[in-house]
Amino acid sequence: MKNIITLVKFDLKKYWSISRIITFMIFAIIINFFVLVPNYFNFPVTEIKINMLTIMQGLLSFFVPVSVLFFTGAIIFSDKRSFYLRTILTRPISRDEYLFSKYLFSLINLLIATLFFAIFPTILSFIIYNDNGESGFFQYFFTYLFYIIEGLLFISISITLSFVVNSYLNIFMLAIWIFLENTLINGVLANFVSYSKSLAIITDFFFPSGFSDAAKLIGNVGVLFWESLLWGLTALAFFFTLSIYLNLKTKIDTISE
Amino acid sequence: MEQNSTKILKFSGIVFIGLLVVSLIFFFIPKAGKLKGLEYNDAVIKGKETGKGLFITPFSRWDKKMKLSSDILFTNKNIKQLLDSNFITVILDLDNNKNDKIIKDYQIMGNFSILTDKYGSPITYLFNTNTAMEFEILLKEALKLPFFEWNNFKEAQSKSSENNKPIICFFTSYINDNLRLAEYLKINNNLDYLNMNFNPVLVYTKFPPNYELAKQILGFDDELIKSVELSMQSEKSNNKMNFSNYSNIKVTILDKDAIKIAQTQIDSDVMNNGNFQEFIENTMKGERK
Repeated sequence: MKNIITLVKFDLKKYWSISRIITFMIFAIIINFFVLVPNYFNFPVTEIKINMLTIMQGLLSFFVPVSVLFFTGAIIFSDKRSFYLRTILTRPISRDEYLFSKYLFSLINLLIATLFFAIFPTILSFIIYNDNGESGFFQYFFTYLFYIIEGLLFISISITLSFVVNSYLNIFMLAIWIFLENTLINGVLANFVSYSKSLAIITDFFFPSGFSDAAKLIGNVGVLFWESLLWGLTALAFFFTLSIYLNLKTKIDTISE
Repeated sequence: MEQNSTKILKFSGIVFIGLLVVSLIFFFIPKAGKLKGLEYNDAVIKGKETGKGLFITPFSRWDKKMKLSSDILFTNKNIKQLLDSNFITVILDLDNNKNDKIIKDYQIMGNFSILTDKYGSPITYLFNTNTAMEFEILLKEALKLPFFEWNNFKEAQSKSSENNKPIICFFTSYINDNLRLAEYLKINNNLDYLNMNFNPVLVYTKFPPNYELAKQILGFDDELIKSVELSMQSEKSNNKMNFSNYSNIKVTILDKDAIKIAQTQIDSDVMNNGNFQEFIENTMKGERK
């Protein structure tokens, strides 16, 4: 555990350079500023009450996959290319510790990103606009929790991909994956499911969408849909196992570019 | 260190397989929330015994939206209580071939539930939305429909010989006509007049069991009945349970021996006038044909 924390600290220091922090903060200010724009134009008018959970859901559903794309894309491959992986693994640090440090590093980045891009704008909305009070604390909590676990799933997919493909391909595949889940599978195909069993198989067995389904459902109607949650957990376990296997098999001196 | 990695790999692999098995079990168990359903035929028998209508709701393993709405609606305490106290539930497994006839009869193509009277004849439908509150409001409105209390033709005939009131049959050909008829009866105490003077029967002509009866009671080659017959013969046609169309509602009044007294139809003029008593009295006098 001590090694993992040391590695994460080192990764964070290496990643969060001053220029990156400034760029990140500029983006965060822009996103938070956008929440103020409707208020500036007096829209919606002050009497209208809005469900803040919808705002939070919208922000999380966009920023969770995008954050993973930015922070975790090609995470292992870049370490291989810069020979950092070889440097680490020739010291008394196990492969598991290295892999878990990458998971923890990505999760911390995801939490920071969601804090600035989703939580702060939601709090700001609470201050500026009238909340309709339809959603309770637990709905907010579980919606956030499920989106974070979905982020963890995307992290595991990204790490798995970064063992086998190069940086550009990794980011491209991850972007396609996110597009598939949000737009094609749950957006376009899901509307035709009643008429075709084969389409239903694709949408039902695209199990990585489990957490976002569960998050949407607990947010919208306050019901925990176990089946979605189980598919999500299965997908997480699958990609986590795959990443451990690839971590075990990866050769530290080989670059596959 | 290598051994430790293998241990973690084995552990997470076992967790994955375990979760996959549990997920598949959840996937293949057909369930509609906390509702407990009967087989269709048993439900019809129980419906007749208890005087409760049927609540027929579809379920398919292969339709995520259907599963979601079932889970949202039928875990809701109020909805469950309303359904349990007023209906016999039938959870129609759309994936099972043995339900093909029922699916075809009721034309269950999408994610909606059908409310029938105690004889299994459709009265109205409710879309299985993703909002429990909306569904509950619509269900409460549906429960106010008078048709759940009405008898079928055979029982109305035996009741007629007991109370000497004539039988009045309303023939509807689209499910929306049932709702229009209910709206019409709701105004100007029309329903009270009807219950006081007649033994009412609702005949939904597009539902196969009542089609032959409709033909028999109406006693003439009606254009509408012909079109229904054609649509039933055509395999391609799927408009038996048409939700958007409506037409004139045919009315036949018969005495206790099932001899026709008068026959007419409720068109938009009659609907707008709203006075059912006047309409029936005029019909009986032979002023309306």
